[in-house]
Amino acid sequence: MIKALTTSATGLEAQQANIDRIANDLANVNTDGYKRETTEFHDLMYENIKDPGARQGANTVSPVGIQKGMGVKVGSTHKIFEQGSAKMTSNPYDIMIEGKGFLPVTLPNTGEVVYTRTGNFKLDAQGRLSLSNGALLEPVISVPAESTGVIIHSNGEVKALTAQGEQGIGQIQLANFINPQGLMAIGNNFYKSTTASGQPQTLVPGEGGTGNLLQGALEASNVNVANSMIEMIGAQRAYEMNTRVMGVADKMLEATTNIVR
Amino acid sequence: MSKPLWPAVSGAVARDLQVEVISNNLANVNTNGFKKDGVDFKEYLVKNEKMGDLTADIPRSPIKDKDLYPLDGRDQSFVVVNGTHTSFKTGGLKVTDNPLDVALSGPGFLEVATPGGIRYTKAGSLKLGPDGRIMTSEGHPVLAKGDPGSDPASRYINLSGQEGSIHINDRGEIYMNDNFVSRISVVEFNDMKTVRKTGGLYFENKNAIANPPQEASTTLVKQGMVETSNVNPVEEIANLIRANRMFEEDLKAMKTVNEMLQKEANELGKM
Repeated sequence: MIKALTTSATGLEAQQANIDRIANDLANVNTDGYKRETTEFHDLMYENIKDPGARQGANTVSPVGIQKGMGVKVGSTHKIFEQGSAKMTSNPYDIMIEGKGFLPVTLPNTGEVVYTRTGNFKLDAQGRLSLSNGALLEPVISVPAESTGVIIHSNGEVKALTAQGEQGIGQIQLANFINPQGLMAIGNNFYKSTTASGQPQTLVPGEGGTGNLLQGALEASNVNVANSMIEMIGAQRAYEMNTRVMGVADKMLEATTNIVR
Repeated sequence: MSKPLWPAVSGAVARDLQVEVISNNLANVNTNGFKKDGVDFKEYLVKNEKMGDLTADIPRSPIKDKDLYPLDGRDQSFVVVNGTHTSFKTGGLKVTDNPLDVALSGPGFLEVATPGGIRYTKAGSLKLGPDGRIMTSEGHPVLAKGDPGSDPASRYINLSGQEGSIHINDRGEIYMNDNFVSRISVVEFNDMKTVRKTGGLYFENKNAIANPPQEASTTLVKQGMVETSNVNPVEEIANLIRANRMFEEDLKAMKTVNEMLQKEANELGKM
């Protein structure tokens, strides 16, 4: 009976992790470039009280065994890198990736290269393409002060319009990962490469499935609100059912203690 | 006198195990690929004290009240949990649109190489490893169709060096950019009773000699879907309520026996 209590407690914990994840997804429903997550559950180990096929007597083996499960755990939470829809902003420095690639950026304080799907770049004081928290696009692209406009081609070529005409000022590169689900989300829409994700392959946009770039657009969050709501209902009901089991286990324990008064 | 106590105790112990199995089912109500367990009870007669069909004879000893009705051990029937069984009924299919999610529609299992040997799973939420191998979320490689006796390492499915989106057809064949890459091994068992859970959504075949895994004939692989848990919450809650009530009844019986014993000890002596 004590086991039923702890088993239902594992259920409560797992469903709570599920609700936490859904809450985070819904909180980021309007975050550009956000990728929704999924929670995966695994059952815990089993106690084998009687093995199937155990000898019961001469020429008799038990056809069934007795197994008692210990509950559930969160097996993994991982991002679903499904393409979000395009949101036209007409801002010349907004870049959207139509494919699997990631934009490499350098963090301002540590100089570490991290990866993002959110391309809402701005110009910093030196005219460099940077994100709102100061992370610079890698490799750095500086827009000359005298330019009248910037054109970003789908293959990543960046050109500035000046009085002398078009002038190439850099090439945007995209990083590809063999296993993007192994990337570690570190907040601010950034991802860090891990041994699970594999080393980034730096490619020109459009090559190797990285996807083309789209200027003046941003990728909307890929959270599916209807789906999240259904998941939330499921998680809440599952939570309730586990509290119900806990109540029954408690009642049974109480009744047992009350046999002897 | 204390004899009637034990059937009630056996009932309470059996119900206790049932509640534990139900609690595990309900804890896994949202676990994709989970298969629910059920409990089988068995009545267990201690002995046949007196056969019911004995022809009447001249009593050689003073008649006792139990001579007037047949007593074939039913007053001493214990209940034991004979076994738990896993219900391999297919759960619901949930569309995820994730190319590496595969649901197995039918009785088949995926083969997975774990450090403890080959395990089987219904949880088809597959992942790509850093080296391009297809694996479960615990990092154990999923096996391709091949000779069952061969080294599992030769049956890993490696997608590295391939380009394009992944297509998996109903037979489990993986195509990338129209190139055939590999075929996922899907196996079925004749006797599901020897397939036991080991946790982590894995199953182990306890009797590989008499019941070897066979190539799936009826199972279809459905890409972009996962199979949800086959736990039916309504059924589980109903069983839970029943188990709780039966447990209370068993306790009530114990209490009654306790009171009788008390009377025997205290009041009989006074007479």
